[in-house]
Amino acid sequence: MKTRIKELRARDNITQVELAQKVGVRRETIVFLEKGKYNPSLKLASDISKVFEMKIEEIFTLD
Amino acid sequence: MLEIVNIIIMKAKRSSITSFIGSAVVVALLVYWAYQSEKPFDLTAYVIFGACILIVGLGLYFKIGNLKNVKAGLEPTDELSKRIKEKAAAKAFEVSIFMWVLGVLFFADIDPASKVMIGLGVMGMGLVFLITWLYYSKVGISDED
Repeated sequence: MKTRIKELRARDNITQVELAQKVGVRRETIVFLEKGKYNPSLKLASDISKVFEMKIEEIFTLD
Repeated sequence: MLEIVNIIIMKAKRSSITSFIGSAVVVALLVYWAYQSEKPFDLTAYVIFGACILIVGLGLYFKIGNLKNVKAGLEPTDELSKRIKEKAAAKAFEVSIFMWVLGVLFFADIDPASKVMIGLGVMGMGLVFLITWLYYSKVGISDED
């Protein structure tokens, strides 16, 4: 799975820790998401999309 | 919100203190065992000692990592850490079953009573696995599990 999380964090000037705090996960989870090494649950994907005010499919794309 | 964060920090600290005390007890027992044992140590003793130190060390490493997360205002566990734990537990179960069976087959100098005990233990592991599998097949798994 590909994600635009790193790009969107840079756009909104949010650190990995801040994003992790906002969506209630550990920083390591954000690291794995950015590397495309973890597929988030629907809830987590939804929470992340709310932080960036975008649709889920605009942030996450399946390979 | 601040109250919830404080409760999480307190629970994590309590859990970490318990882990640190437990680890200290294990290390103290290992040292006592090493002191009481006949020297020089054979290879088995070194392997056991090394494995115990590794387990205690890794346990402390994960606990300290959790505590750092909590201090940074993050959750000590989340969906990914739970899935990793589940996967590790499943692998450990799989490997253990084979390890015990192979151990019983290839270590000829185990007395018959011990072989029966080990066999019952392996069967027990299989039974618990089947029962939990049936249970979760019926009730499903919620997001919180």
